[in-house]
Amino acid sequence: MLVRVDPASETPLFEQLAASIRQSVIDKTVTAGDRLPSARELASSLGVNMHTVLRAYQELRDEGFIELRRGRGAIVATTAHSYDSLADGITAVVAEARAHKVSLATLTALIREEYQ
Amino acid sequence: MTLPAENVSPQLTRNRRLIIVIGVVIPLVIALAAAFIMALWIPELPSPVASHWGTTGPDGYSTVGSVIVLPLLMTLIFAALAAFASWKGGPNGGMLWGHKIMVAASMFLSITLSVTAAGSLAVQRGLENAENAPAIGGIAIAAFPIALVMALFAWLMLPPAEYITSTPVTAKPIAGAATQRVHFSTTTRVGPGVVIIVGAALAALAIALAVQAVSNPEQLLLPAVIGLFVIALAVSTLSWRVTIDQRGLKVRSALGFPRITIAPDQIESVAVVDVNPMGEFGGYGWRWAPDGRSGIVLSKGDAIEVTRMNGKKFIVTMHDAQLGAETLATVAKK
Repeated sequence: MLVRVDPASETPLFEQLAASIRQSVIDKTVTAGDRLPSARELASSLGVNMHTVLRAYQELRDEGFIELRRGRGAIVATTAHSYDSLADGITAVVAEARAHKVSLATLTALIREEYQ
Repeated sequence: MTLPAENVSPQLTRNRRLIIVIGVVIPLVIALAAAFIMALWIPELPSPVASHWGTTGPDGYSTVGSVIVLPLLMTLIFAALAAFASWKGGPNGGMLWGHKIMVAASMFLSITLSVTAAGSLAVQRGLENAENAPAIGGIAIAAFPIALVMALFAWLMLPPAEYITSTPVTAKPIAGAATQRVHFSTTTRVGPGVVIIVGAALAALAIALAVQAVSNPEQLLLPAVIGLFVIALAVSTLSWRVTIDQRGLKVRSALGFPRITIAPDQIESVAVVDVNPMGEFGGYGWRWAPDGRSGIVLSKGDAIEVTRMNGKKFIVTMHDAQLGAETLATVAKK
């Protein structure tokens, strides 16, 4: 599992953390039952506050991505939704955009417009 | 049911014939001949016979049948294991050095076991009571060089070892702002096949310890300590936690020890390689290869290869090696 954070970015650190882990679950880098690093471990590894990691973990738990168990740390939830069709859709959309030479900026703008 | 026709090269067919003859047939013939000779001696032997010697003479006894059958059984099991392990050959159809060692070891084991067992019975012929059996240290010492020479012959009879050299693909750092921080972690463990073999070996060890505990409780301490050490070692090397961050690469066994750390400033380059555990490292676990590489080798396939500033290479096998290698390259660049 890869977690990337940029303290210089405007997005709050806990949001960046949660986004990274969410992505790992969606692209199946981690699967149900896999153990995530403990909050303390991840905090010292990234040089961020432990409460920042805990906040991200709590958000992910509320969204059903992970389970938090006392003493066992964070585990990828078995109840996590399957994002297969979403991932397939994204692959298809990107391939289509490439075929029509639509730039990344244009594609993201299109997605943002559709989403809102 | 029809099986797809297996396309076997003439070289592999030839190698398999050698594996069967040198690794299975000859060791079994030796063990069978020894068993046959020992069986002929049964009328002249005391009952029970001495089967274990301490510093002051025999201190363990068993039936003559088990002394005859045990070497045969162990030879059979190991010969089957050696043939099974080396049957598929290397990726280019040759024999890997790990395979050659298994076949040669089958020969070595057959001779040491057969000669020691036969020798231990030979000195007891004509005795009324096994307690008067003379020491057999000399026989065991004599068996060793004979077995070693035969194993060497076996090695020379086999084709030259095929060495696998996979091409490392240098990993590129992950794109991103200079201020970004990265963390990569994964658990890497051995496959189910290795778990079964290790489990069987540990069960055998546990049974051996239990037998020792019942038959010879006063001499249990040393085997028990060694046994527990081996079990702990096996368990600790089956599963490892890999962490890559600004502090470098950390690989830690499931028990927390042993652990290996490589700091970012010690890293020259990072690459992804395709690893063949048997062919390149002669097996699984914490390994050293003849070419000077060391590493945590738990599965066939992708691995991170770290080249240190001093030129030494360290590898860790894992399923998401590409992502791990890119993360480590990102960290090492800074």
